[in-house]
Amino acid sequence: MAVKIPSYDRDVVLSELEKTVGSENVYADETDRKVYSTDIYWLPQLYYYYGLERPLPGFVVLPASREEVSEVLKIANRHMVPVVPWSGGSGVQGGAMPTQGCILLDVKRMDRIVEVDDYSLTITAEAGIVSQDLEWELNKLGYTYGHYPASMYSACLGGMLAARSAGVMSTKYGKIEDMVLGLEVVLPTGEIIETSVSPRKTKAIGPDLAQLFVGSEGTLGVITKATLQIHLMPEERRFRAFLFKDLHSGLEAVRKFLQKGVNPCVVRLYDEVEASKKTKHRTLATGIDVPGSFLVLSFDGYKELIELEEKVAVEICLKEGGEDLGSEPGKYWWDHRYDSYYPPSAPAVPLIFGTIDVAATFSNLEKVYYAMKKALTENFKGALFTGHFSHWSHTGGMLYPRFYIQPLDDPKEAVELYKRVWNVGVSAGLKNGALLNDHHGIGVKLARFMEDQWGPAFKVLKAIKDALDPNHIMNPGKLGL
Amino acid sequence: MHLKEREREIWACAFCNSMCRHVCTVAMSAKLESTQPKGKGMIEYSILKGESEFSESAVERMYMCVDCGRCRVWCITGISDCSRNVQAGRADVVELGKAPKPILKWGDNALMYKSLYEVPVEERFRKVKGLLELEGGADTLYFVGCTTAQHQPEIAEAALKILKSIGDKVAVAKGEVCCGYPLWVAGFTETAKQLAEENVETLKSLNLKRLVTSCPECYLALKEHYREWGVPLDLEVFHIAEYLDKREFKLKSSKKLSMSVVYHDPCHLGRRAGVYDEPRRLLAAIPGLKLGEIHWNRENSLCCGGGGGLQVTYPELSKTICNKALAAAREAGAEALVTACPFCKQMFLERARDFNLKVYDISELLA
Repeated sequence: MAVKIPSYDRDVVLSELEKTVGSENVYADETDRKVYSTDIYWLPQLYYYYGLERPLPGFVVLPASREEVSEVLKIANRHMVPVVPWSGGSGVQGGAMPTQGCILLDVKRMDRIVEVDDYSLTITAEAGIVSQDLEWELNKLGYTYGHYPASMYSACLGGMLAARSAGVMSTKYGKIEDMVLGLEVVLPTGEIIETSVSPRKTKAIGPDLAQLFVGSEGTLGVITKATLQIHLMPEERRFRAFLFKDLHSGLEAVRKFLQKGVNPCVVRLYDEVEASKKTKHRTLATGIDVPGSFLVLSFDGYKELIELEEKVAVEICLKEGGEDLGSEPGKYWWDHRYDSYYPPSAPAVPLIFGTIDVAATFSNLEKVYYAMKKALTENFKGALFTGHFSHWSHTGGMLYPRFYIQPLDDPKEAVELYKRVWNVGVSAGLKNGALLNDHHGIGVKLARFMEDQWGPAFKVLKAIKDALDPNHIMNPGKLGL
Repeated sequence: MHLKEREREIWACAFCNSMCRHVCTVAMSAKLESTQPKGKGMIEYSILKGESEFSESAVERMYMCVDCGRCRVWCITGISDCSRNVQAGRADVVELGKAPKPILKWGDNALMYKSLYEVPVEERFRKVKGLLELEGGADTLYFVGCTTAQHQPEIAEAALKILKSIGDKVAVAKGEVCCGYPLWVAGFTETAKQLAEENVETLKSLNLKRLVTSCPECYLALKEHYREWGVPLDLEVFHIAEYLDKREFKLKSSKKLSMSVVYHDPCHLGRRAGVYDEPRRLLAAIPGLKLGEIHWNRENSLCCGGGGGLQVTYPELSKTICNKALAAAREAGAEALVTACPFCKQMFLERARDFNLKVYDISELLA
């Protein structure tokens, strides 16, 4: 991890930042700089666990408005100080990991709900609002935005947009990029822009500029406000669970009912290992005693409509050999869906673990799963490999292959091993037609794979970066930019 | 308790995925990562590991906690309680002599006056009108508490009136001193224990049947923490709402109160002691009174901002927190906010006018 001390005059930058946002909103002490030294990415977590030297921000700054964000970016350009945007710090890819000496720009003071348009069903909110708070405010009014990521309690709107967040109900409600209708962004040089706000599927005014910044991970500017589509709270929410003798049958059932037009909100399929109660590390809070692949379905909407959808899905699942477990295991799954993200259930350093999430079409999905499983278990003896699938369309879905390897005594060896696991896993996925990542983002963790993923097309991203951020101050190194 | 005795609990917070950030009273207003339970856990972990020490800013973060227990409601680890970790950190800070000045003042007051406040022992009850002194044959002791005695004497007056009205032989103990709870939370663990010993000694000699108090912090200390501190009190302890509910207290129908109210669950009575229904039953039984609910109620009730010493260490932050609770009460559309805690009442009273709300302690409506 390169630790480079920028050559700016620290006192001058500090003084200008304090003048811009108020001294009470600039933190240059070691306590805060250390707390912001790690998001949830394994690598800085390990460094923090062992108290190893790691990049620290030079300043933590909390602006209250887009104008203040703009001024902070102008200061950064004047003094050539890197800027790392931060909202919830809940990312697992190191997207918010500080560059040594950077201005860490935390947007959480900008957390207002600006407007709820209850006629058109849209909400406009600032980037610092916590996902759960946004949902609660909508629920009070009888709406939902249908977004339930594992980081629901900690992620903020800005970060979710910047990392292309997905929630467990994405099959019906979409990922965050499907929800966003327009953005306010402060460009790296300080200009404030707003992309047009219009309903989904209506734009023909050139490339969708909002989508340029969605997934840009803070490399192209700071997202300060967003307009999202929202929904009426469903009249009914139903759950259903199935047990398949193997993963293949489960995948076939899912493909068939999705391609018939059935549209559940939750479609979550666990492989035989992750589904088993005997497996120590699993994201499935319940767990099953008999071997098999576990499928959870949930349906949201008007009673009559979802009854029909459920009926078709059930018929197909039964035809593919699924055992109908009824609604209870599904409801239990919903109520306990975040349990495995709390300590001590959640895997934590020094355990060597990760989720090499990839997406693929149905033609490749099963092939990718087995290729990654083979590559990881054969190359890393003793590694536990589990997997589950989610976030579907009728053409394919998303695979979460997880690995767990017992800690090593030497953290440097652990880091080397960790990197090797990712190299092997990602390479096996890409060779079999997978897309590198679906919604955890790239950050610094996967930056080295971006050239492989994009090929010659990567130069388009680089050119956009050069044009918008001439001094390359914005979140250096993330996304491979 | 010190940090080194809570390694596992601190680890759990430090390496958590911020699963309670969204409900942390302080973080919801301060926004800074180091003010949420994970951030505090990270600071404590670094100190335990020897990577950091209690710098001025680390000490500041330890005192940015209202002891509200909201984080605990959302924590399913079964391991951690951020405010207890913070309390352990504060105990270390106090030993190092690094506590913030207003907190040191609390410590000095406790030593000199046996109160949170700068009031000589003999003047402890000076502001409470018509206070009953200890008489022979009393069966119920009313434990007044520092904040009620100094800042909300009308709560004690109302409570004593009610207790008398239900036929209890009620008295107060001349030798009452601070219950110790706010000092314990602030990190003065030894001082808190000494105060507890003094109270237990005084109460032991009085041959009482029960103890009743209007202060949830006193209630919690006397009922639970004295045992934990190794100074058990062999006496039934009630919060007044709990006691009156048990006695099936009802206002006479001639005392009609035509107003709409919402009940604010005090952190230490609700979340920490589980007393939610008793005050609601008492209020619902008042003739003419319309009882509504705040959206954030019961275990998710918002804090008044007055706990954990925040009102003396960070008054502006405390005020912001209080305003959020008042705004939530106002949103419920009631004329008045009723609570059952002298700290809450004091906090709310100072700002309620901005929200067009009246503020009462439950005893004031029942007296």
